[in-house]
Amino acid sequence: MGKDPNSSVSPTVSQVIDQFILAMREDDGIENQSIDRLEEILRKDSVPKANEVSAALFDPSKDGEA
Amino acid sequence: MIRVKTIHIEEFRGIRNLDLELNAKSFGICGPNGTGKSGVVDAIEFCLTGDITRLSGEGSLGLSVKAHAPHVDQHSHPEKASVTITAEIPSLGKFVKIHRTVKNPRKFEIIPNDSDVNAAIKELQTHPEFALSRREIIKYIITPPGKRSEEVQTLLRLDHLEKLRKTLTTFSNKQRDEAEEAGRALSLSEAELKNAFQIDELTDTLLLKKVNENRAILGLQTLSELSKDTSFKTGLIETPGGPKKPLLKKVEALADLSALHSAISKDEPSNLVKNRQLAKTALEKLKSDEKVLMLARQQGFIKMGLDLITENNCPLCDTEWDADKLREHLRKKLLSAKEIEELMGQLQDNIKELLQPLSERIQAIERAIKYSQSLRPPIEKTELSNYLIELKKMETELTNFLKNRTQVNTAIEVVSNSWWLPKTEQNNQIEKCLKAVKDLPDTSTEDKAKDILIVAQERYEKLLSNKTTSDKKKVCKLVAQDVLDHYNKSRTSVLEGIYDKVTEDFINYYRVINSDDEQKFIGKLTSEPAKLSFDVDFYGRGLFPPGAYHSEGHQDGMGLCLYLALMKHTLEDKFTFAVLDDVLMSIDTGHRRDVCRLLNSEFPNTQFILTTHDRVWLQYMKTEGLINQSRSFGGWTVDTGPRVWNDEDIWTEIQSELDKNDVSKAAWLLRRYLEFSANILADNLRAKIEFRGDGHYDLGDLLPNVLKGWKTWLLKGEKSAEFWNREKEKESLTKKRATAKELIAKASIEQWAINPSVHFNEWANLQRHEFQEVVDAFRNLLEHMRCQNSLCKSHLHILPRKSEAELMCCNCGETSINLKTSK
Repeated sequence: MGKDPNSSVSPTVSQVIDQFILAMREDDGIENQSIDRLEEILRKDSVPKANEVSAALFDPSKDGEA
Repeated sequence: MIRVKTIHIEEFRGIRNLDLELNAKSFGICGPNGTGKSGVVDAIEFCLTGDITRLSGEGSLGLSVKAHAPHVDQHSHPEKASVTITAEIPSLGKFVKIHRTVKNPRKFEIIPNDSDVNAAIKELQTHPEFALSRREIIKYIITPPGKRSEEVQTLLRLDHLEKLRKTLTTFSNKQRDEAEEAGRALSLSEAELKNAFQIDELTDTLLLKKVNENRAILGLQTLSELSKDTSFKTGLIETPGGPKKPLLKKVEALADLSALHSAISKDEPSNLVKNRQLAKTALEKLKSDEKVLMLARQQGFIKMGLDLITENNCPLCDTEWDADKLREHLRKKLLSAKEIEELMGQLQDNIKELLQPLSERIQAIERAIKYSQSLRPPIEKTELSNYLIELKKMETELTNFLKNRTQVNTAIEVVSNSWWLPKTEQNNQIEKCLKAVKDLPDTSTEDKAKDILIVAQERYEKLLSNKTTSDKKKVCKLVAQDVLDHYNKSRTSVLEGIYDKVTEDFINYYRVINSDDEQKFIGKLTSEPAKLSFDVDFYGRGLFPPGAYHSEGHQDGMGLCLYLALMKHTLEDKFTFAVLDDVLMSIDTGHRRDVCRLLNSEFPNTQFILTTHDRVWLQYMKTEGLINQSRSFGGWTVDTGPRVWNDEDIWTEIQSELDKNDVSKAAWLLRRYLEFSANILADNLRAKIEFRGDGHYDLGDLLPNVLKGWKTWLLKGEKSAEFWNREKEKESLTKKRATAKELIAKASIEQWAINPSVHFNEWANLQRHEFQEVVDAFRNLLEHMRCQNSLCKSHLHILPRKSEAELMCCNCGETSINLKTSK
């Protein structure tokens, strides 16, 4: 059990995120920059919202890019 | 995690004022139902978490901690209801005092108020699973896989993963919906462009041909190809500062209104009729069985029901049923649920096919209204506006049905009536508008060609833009689906590793508590994105859900083993505290000792607080060394709360009643205590009792045989001592056996054992001094059968439990009588 459950994700959650990120990096259809942005929000304490995931993967500032 | 040293409870649930000393060791609470045992469990949970699952969890509608946690006489004084716990926190090496009142359940006083102590207590609050009742234990076993997944992941602190799965699913669904929406917008812009050139199909070749025809009229160069940068107006001179732009371009309005007029002049397209009819049929099928939608959602429930039909009566209420007929009934339901699922998929496709032309018609009517208002004088638009409102309402209702599938009647109404042909008044307004546009002064062929190119250019650009958006959304949809798939695969892979470890512990624990018949037992937890399936071996016949064939007692055992395996994985060496509230009530007596051994051997550093209504079960806990302290609850009244005593106190209480000259009450207490002791001793001493199918043995069945067994074991001990040439021991045992005979004679066992019911009545009729003799006789007799070490005082028991007896001993080891008479 983590020292403070409210301050960091558990080791198991971390393990899933590691594997998830690795699988996405091996997928040519997903840009690395998008994965970087998604990883950043996934590592935070709270679960991101769907629109935050959307913004991370399809950066609205880069309109026209998937 | 903590270990509880003391608990002080005031005006809480059924308890008025109660102190318990646990000394940070495992502790037993025993008493019949309704004596306040669970009040103690509630008090512990409340003090440590501020909540009481019984009052706030599932099935607690209308109940609340604030209103119902105080004693019923103090329900309007929640400040008087409080719990104080002192505990040690092994990981910090600190002691802590926690106090909480019902008035402010969320606040608690804590001494010392250190940050690490606070963090440890807050950690407990996030995991109330330390307190487990039977109702909760079963949720890991008899529960649909989807629900089990949530429960187990919450216990494993993996709810973060489940929330993330839901977020990514929402994200993926949103991308899919947006892609579909963008696709519809693209189709609408294609229809608009076709209208501009009055063509029925949209190909690059045909489009280029129409563009060049108009450009030729204007003497403009022929365009050779169509690209995203192509301008139909290249070379066209639009005079700056020329005549004022008209409100309405005749050519554009004429094209759009002609297309609309042409559409409504023909019958409804056959494809639309077919989709409406298919949708209507499917919707009516749904409506014909008003519960059919619910049925589709209940598929998992029905499957579980099928698994649970093992006997010819309901496991809950014992109502008799024909298991074969019921299985057939549920199978039919299951089949229709699957059919309904397929039906819903088809219905969704039909409705989507209806939405596209409906959107196109809405757009056409919006344009017609715009044109009617641009004419001078404007054409009356009321009927068209009403038509537009009707069409939009239908669009909304169909879209809503796709989202929640609840408004079946409304959806039937929408698909039953064709909206294709407007009403006469509405049609008249369209025709009037078209005529007015036609009556506008004709422009020259050149001007007409020019207007067509300008309008077409606008629509072409819109089409290109919508195509870009649609393509982008399609890619987003695919990426979102890939992301969700990657997440689900990653999560399942990691969780499978965890579940494998949990399963391994679960199997080992279950084998320990069923050492006699389940040594080859195996189980399997299978993780899928939204569910966790759990199957267990049934005597080598295959893997089945736990509720399929295993008895309730075995299911309870499985629940406990899975809980312990999960807690071990979650907390590891911090699993120092657990409250098990009557969780093993249906485990048969043969396996209870094994449960004690399991808890002792696998969790030596965990403080268990166990409640039970079964005194024999409590004694097992003591005999097996799981607990060495306990309290018995009984005689609860609403005014006083539970009466609490320990084994030693019973004699004080009997004496107290005698001192008050209440022989009847004293006799009642003695009888209860003898019944309790006789059960334990019969089991401990492997007494030879005449078997009874109903399992009910009264005092007359038990005590004479217990005492007979006691004398036999003492005699066997004597013979053993003689065999091994241990003269001193033999002498001591001979003396003990003589004392036993004397004490048994004093208690007049043989006399009352013939007709115990008469005897008890006789007791109640005795004078105080006469009954005092009976009490003293039994007290001395039972004392004689315990270990004489004042720190132990346990009842002696025979080892091993089965096969040839080798030893009669106590829990502390001070009393140990060899029974073997051969090498």
